[in-house]
This record gives sequence, structure tokens and C-alpha cells, in this order.
Amino acid sequence: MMAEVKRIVLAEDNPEDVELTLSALAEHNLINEVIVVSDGAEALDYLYARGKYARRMPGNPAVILLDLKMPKVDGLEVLRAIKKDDRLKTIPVVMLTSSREEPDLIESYELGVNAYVVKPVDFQRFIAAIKELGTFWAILNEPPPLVGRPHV
Amino acid sequence: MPEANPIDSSIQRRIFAGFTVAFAVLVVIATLSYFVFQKLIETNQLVKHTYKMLNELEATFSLVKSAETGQRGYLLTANIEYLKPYDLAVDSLPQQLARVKELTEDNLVQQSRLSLLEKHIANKLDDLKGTIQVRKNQGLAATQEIVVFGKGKTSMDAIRQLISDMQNEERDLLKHRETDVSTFLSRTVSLLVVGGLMQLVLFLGIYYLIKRDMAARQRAKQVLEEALAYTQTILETVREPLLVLDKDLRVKTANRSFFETFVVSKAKTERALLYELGDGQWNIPALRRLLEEIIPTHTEVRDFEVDTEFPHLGRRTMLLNARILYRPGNNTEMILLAIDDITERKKAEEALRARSIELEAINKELEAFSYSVSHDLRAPIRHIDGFVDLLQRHAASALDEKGVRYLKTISQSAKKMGRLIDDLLVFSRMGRSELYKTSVDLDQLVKEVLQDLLPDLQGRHIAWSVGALPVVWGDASMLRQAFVNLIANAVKYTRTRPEAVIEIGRGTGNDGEAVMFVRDNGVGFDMQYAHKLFGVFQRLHSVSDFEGTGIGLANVRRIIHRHGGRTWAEGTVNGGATFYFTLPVTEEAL
Repeated sequence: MMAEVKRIVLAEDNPEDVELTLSALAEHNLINEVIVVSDGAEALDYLYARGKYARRMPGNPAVILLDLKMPKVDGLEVLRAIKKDDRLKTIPVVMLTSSREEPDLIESYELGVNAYVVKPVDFQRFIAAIKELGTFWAILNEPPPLVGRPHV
Repeated sequence: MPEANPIDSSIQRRIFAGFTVAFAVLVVIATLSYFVFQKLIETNQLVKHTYKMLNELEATFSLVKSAETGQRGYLLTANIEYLKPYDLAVDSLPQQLARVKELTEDNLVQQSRLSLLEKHIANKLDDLKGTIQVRKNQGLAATQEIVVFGKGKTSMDAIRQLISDMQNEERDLLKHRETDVSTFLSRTVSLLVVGGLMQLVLFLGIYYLIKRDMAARQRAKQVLEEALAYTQTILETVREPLLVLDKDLRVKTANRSFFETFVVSKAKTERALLYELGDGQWNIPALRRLLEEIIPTHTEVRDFEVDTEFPHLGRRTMLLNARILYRPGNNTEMILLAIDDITERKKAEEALRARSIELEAINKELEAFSYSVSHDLRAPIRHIDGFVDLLQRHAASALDEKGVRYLKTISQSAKKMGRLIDDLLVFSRMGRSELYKTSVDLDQLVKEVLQDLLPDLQGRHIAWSVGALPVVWGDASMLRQAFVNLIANAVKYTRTRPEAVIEIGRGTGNDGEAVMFVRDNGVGFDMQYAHKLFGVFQRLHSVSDFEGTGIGLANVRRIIHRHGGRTWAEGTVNGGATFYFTLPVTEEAL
């Protein structure tokens, strides 16, 4: 059984996309704790519990929904950083992006992404996709055991 | 060193051999002749000897006879006058005998005879002396007794006999020697004659060989002259400027093309030093190095680039081939320079390279463009659809039927735009991406495609007919896409048929290509619009009848074209359609 609240990190720079995603999550009661960061730098700040997020609740999120195209630090760089770090590499990362470009797919999988989902244009499908993702990662899936507290 | 004409050397060798043999024969003849002369001289000596001997013997006998005659005369007449020959003879005889003795030195038999002769002669002389004394003292009558009873006659006979013997002996000897000599001579003479004839033959042979040699040389010279004329014609006709330089880098000849290209006169060019030609246009350090250092060691240099300013021509890049030539006839080394003006070609190459780089850049731009499209265009469309949906839920109560319909339309349009963009992206990818060519088994491919389409075929009655398809050379995923599109189309457009018949097979084509087709018994199309079928976003049916964006066949055409094949279609309204395409086949398939 869950020991703590399963957090979802949503890294997305486009506010509309954020709103749509959150409403999709809400529709399936997955809104428990969704942390929204608007670019890669913020995402890393959160994961390392530094800067703006220095005083957040400790522990890794259950899943990270990562957009590719973000300012400052883009999705692939965040992915690379996560998978390189022993403390973070166990966090499941789902690429949630508009791009179906092969190079992006290849790069993401080579870096060790757990899933790659292309955002459907059709909103209904989008909701369905979000629901499936949320249900799987945040509810069904057993998260990796805690490796240790992130640096404060 | 040029190779000697093989005919030459064999003839020369034979001539040399001939002379050697002739010389040898001459030496032999000379030696033989020498021996012959020696022999003749020898024989001559012997003959002289023999005659001398005979003479002396005769002389001896005559002396004895003379003594006897004198004695007889005296005996008869008691005249001392008759004693003169006797005295003379007696005096002369010792010397005479001595001479004879000398002459018999080499002959033992004759010597023994001689001693006997001497003895008899001595006796005879004594006898004569005695009788003379008796006559002197006792008168004529007393002598008669002695003469009649004395040994005078026997001695004389003996003497006569001995002398005759000795003479015969000499004559015999002579005869033997003469026979010897004549045999020797005849043999030698025949040898000499043979030798002489051989000499004659040899000299004739040598003469003949020399004649042949000269004829061969003459022929060779003629061949050479013809070859020279031939090469000269080639040189003059060749479009490339050519230069022949001697070892000191002076121009020996240049062809017409050289004079025309570099605008120099023949007079100014021939015999001039290469570096002095036409205001020193060839006085280039790299070229100097080439000619003075490289050529002696390598004998040939190809594609040597020279880039310099030429009077009358401007800045030009020349490609040189240089080679050591051996000019026949006088065994000297020459350098042949062939010059090719590649300035234009280089310019074209540069232009091509620049264009290539340009195209590369354009391609990169296109890539970035479609990447951007795939991301950036999709997002707003998604938002439209999303917020319309939210609006619908949020304001459902506030909207009337029309309002709801309006929102639905907006949503549908957004979705359609999304699909169009996706299709366009796929289409552009078909054109952009690299073909990954392998050997593709189309039988297998079609099986997989049908398997994948199974879910879409639920509830459909389709009679499939799949013929044997070849193995082709191409990009597997692209070819899969093409088949998916064609087969999906067939499935779609036969939806109105209770029993659909879809046939996939291979037709007959030219060598090296396979013709394939997908045939269905669906709604078909009007051949009048066949040319539009493969156009981008072109459709011959309305969306309400059959969904689709009209990109499927355009994709098929693009894929097939990239593989070097062709596409075409045949159909009748409501009578089905057949879509054909060709692909190059691998050798294994043939």
C-alpha cells in the first residue's frame, strides 16, 4: 500500500497545455499532487530540492511527465541529467510531447526514457492518454524503493 | 638503349662467324702452302743431291777410266803425254772420292759401297801404276802379260758395277722421293683446292649475308620513316598541346595545338629553352622541380597541376603529364609533355561543390522546418480542440443546439487540420529521409501487412488472392508503408461490396523490373480523372462517402519513385480498380 502521496511532476512550458493536462488529470482524480514546472531548469531544481524548491517534501516523484521543447533546459537534457544521477535514475520518465520525429525518439530511448507518448491533437484521446498514464504510473505501478533523501 | 633489331643481330653474328671461319681457312691454307713449299724445297734439294751424286759418281768413273785410258795409251806408245790424264786422274781421285763421300753421309748402304769402291779404285790405281812402271822399265811385251792376266779388268768391272749400283741406288731413292712428293703434293693440292673453294663459298655467303643485312636495315629505316610520319600525323591532330623537349629542356618539337593554344610561333618555340617560351610563362618553380628532379628518377609523372598566369590566356590551371621518351634512331632521351587546360573543369567542379553545399544547407533547413511543424503547429491545434471540449462541458447548459454544433465544427476542423499536418509530415519524410536499402521479400512483407490490418477487417467479408511476389531491393519500412496504403485503400473502397475481392500479385514486366498490382472490386474511379489519383490531397470521392485526406496514393507514388519505379492505375466507375507499380529486382529474384 502507498506509504506516501504519489507525486506527479509535469514539466511543460505552454500554459494551455498545462491547463489541458491538469484538467485531464483532474477528470480522473489524479490531481493529488501534481507539481508543475515550466522549464527544464525548474524541473531539475525540484528534483534536487534546491532553489525555489529547497523546502519541498522530500522524496522522489512517482513519475515525471516531460515535454521536449522547453526553454532554458529542454526535455532531453533533463532526461540525461536524471538518468545519470544515481539518486534520480530510478524515477520513471514519460516523454509527453508533440514531436514524433525519429531523432527525438531515438535519443530519448537511448537516454533511457521509460515511455514516449505523442500528445494527440484530439482532446478526447488526449484525456484518455493522460488517464492511462496517470493510472499506470501514479496508481498501479510500484514505485522504486527510496534510495535516499535528496540533497538539501 | 633501344633494342637492336633482332634480324640485325643474327645477321651480324653470322657475318662475323663467316669471317672468322674464312680467316681460319685462310690460316690453314697458308700453313699448308708453307708446308708444301718446304716439301718442294726439300725435294728440290734431294733431287739436286741425287744429280750431284750421279755426276760425281760419273765423274769418278770417268776419272778412273781416264786413268786407265791414259795408262793404256802410255802402254801402247810410251808417250808421256798419255800419262797426263793418268796423273790428273790419280791426283783428282782422292778429292773426287772425298766429294762422293760427303754426298753419301746420310746413306749407310752407299757408304759401305763407297768404301768398297775406294778399295777397288785403290787396287785399280795400284794396278795401273804397276803396269805403267813395268812399261817404263820392261817394255811393251811385259805389260801385255799383266794386262791379259792381271786383275785390271775385274777391278774395273767391280768399279763399274759399284758405281752403277750406287747410281741406281740414288736413282731409286730419287724415284721414291719423287713418288712421295707427288702423293704429298696431290693430297695437299686437293686440300688447297678444297680450301680455296671453301673460301670462295664463304665469301659468297658473307656477301649474301651482308646484302641481306643491308636490305633489312633499309626496310627498318622505311618502317621507321612510316611510323614517324604516322606519329607526326597523330601529334598534329591531337587536340591537347604536346611538347617534346630534349634533355636540356629545349623544345625539339611542338604540335599544332600547342602553337594555337599558347599563341606562339613555331620559329620562336623550336630550340628555345622551355623556360624562355612566351615571356617565361613556363618558368614556374614547381614545373622546374618536376622536370629537373622528378623525371630522371621516375620516368613518368601524371596529373601534375600547374596554376599560373599565361600571357594571352590569363590565369589558367594546367594539368601536365610528362614522360621520358626514347627517340628511335639516335638513342637520345627526350621528355614528352602533354598539357591539358582544366581551368573550366575546375570551375565547374567548384560550382558543383558549392551547389552541393547549398543543397546540403537547403536540406538541413527543410529538416528544421518539418521538425518545427511537427511540434509547433500541432500544439495550437491541440489547444483548440482541448479548450473547445472544456468549453462544451463547462458551458453546455448555456449553449443552444446551434451553439453546440458550432463548437463541434470547430473541434472537427481542428482535428482535421491535425490529420493533414500529420499526413504532410509523413509525405515530406518520404521524400527527405535516406533509403535504407536491403533485400526485401515482398511475400513476407504483404503477409505482415495483412496481419497488422486484421483488426480493421473485423466483420468484413474479403476474398484475398495473394500471388507470388518477388524479392526486391529497397527500403523495407517505406515499401511496407506503400503496401499498407494500397491495401488499406482496397479495403476501404470495397466497403460497399458484400463480398469484396482483393487481389495482390505480380504482372509481367521488362528485364530487371517487377510489376506488381493491387486489384479490388470496389467503387473504382473514372479514368478521366486518373491523372489526379496520385496527387497530394487529391481525392475522387467525398469525405462523406469515404474518409481520408488524399495523401495515401501520393505517398505510394513518392515511395515508388524514390525506388526508381513507376506507378499507374486503371479503373472503371463502380467496376473496381487496379493500382500498378514497378520495382527493380535483385539478381536472386530473376
